Amino acid sequence: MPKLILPELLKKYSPDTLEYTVSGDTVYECLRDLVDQCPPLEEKLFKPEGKLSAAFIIYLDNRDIRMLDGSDTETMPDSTIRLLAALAGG
Amino acid sequence: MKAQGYMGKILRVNLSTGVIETQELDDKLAEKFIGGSGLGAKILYDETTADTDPFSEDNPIIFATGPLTGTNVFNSDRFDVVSRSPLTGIFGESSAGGFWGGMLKRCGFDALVVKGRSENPVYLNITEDKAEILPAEDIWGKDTFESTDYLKEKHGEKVKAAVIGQAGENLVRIAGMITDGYHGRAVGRAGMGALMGWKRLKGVVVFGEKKTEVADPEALSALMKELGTQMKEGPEPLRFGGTSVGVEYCDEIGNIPIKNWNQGGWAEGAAKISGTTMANTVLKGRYHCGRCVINCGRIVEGLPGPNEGKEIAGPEYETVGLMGTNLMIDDLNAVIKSNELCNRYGLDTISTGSVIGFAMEAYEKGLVSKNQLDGIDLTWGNSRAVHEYIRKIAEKDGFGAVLGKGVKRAADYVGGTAHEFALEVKGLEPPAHDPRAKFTVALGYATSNRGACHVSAFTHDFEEGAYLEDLGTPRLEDRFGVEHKAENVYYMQHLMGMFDSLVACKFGMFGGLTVNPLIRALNAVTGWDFDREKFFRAGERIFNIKRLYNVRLGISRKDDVIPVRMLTQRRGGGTNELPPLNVLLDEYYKLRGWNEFGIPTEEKLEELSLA
Repeated sequence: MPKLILPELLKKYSPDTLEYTVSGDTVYECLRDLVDQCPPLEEKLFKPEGKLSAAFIIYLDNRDIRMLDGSDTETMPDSTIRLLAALAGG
Repeated sequence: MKAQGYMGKILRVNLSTGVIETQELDDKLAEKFIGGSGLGAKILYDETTADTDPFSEDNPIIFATGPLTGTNVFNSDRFDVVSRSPLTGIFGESSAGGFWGGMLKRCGFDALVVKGRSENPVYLNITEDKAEILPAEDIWGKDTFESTDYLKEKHGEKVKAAVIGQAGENLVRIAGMITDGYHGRAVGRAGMGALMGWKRLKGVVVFGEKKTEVADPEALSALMKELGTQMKEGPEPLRFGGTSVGVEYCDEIGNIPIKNWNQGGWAEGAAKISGTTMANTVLKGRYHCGRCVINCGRIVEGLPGPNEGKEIAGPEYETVGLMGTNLMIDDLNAVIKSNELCNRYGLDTISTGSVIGFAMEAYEKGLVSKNQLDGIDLTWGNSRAVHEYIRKIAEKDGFGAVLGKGVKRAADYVGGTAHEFALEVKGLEPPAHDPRAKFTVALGYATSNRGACHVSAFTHDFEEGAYLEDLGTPRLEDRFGVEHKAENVYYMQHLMGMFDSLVACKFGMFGGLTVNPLIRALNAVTGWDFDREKFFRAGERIFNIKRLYNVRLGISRKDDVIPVRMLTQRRGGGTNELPPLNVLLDEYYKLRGWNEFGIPTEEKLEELSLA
């Protein structure tokens, strides 16, 4: 099953671990499984209407999912999903 | 005996007399004010009075590096430029990346102080331990790219040049300097380009190969090795999407300016010009400053015009915000063109985007006519009009001459209700972070010594995002709350003052170069024994000397404000809150040991050895 790695700043919402094993055929399904395992993450990752928040940049096997099929991008059993905080400034 | 990490010399040039001399850097001074921003502020404070006009021979323009510059500390080839700002009339500074800072130090100088005014256009050519003033008639009137090409052709491809364009020559008060030519690293803020123009100093060319001696190279290498993986992985979003990678999120939370800070959200527009869109479409490569492993710089292809097909700098987040969403422009190529034009003419993209947004609203409200705008239909989203106005600002053509004075003076000129939508703090236009979205930004803007500034507190990425464990303040849980906000800004301003003085890139924080590693780096480089208390005390001293400079010019609590629109008008979109600035200020002044009017007390100055 895919591995999902959270950034340090979500430690407050997931104090025990930042690494999860998740199930799902797409990135979206994997993230839904993540919040089922750790409900406090729901408000950080999803907007009230159920869409993904833009607060995190999501990588699937080191590629930004926005360069693939977005949250509909299909995952493989050995995939790694990694969330990184969206930064701004310059 | 000079401290390790320093070259031990300050180069002084007087353009009125032609005298060039070197001055020994005092170790005690260096230990108190570190370098870069701190050293520049101390020199400015000591060598000017309240009567020293920005455009006067006695007003120095100071280019300063720090002890980390030129070492193998990540992201450390930066430099800081300090002077009395011709835009704001108060303390001015601007920091730039690229390679110029490291190269100045490799010439054997920690800082360059330029006073006086040349009769004819000149540039400085600095090599190891020496400098010469050379005529610049051949490049006076040319843009920053052409000028850099000329200087490289004359002095060699390896030289680095910091130059002004036509905007600086024409004394446009929102003019900056550009280093690294087409790749455009900018000394953008506070009108430093206009100062150069007034001094008739077209640019400064540097080339040297001297090494910075480090007290404990093994300890420094071990630290960099320790940080290596984190430095590559932490800032990965910046590498992928550049500094504008978070544009969509900034729209979502109500942070990015839209329609002169007058609209809540614009998701579809923001998405079209974001760093991700750039990465997926027009991005040709990534650019990095000296000693950097992040590569946040964007390389894109020049659009039709003099730089068509050339590899040029793509826009940063602040440019995307101010030149894009702020003007209701959702055409990425149009923003790239605006960025290129500003870099070519040598204009600050933040102030330029701000003042054009102001003009668009003034036009919409009927406060200025199309005739006053020289027949140009300066409406929201009209990128052709924006590009024409960038040229007009740089060349002081028609109404462009009014806008080139910055938002505050432009509002004075327009009159009526113009000040209600003139966004500035102490005369400096705000960057692309809305205080209504994050309350620390309100306090940071109000109290920054150069006016509205996002990098003197740099809390915008830490209020609801990353957390600096070793800052020593509680994690901020609620971007709209007031708890611990003043404390957070207070400590962050000291940490940022140290970044600007050491000098190192603040993006290093995302890769682990935070408080404790910075202290270790400083000690390894200099051989000093800074602990946490001494480190933050130095940051506080640096912040206060800048405040003292401003107090001397009449700055007090009455000036520690944010624009009325950000204070009183609910934005909608990602935020419907208003920052309680006075509550935050009261707590902040107490923490600072300043009186109720925002003036440092005698006790505080004695504590900081500034009395």
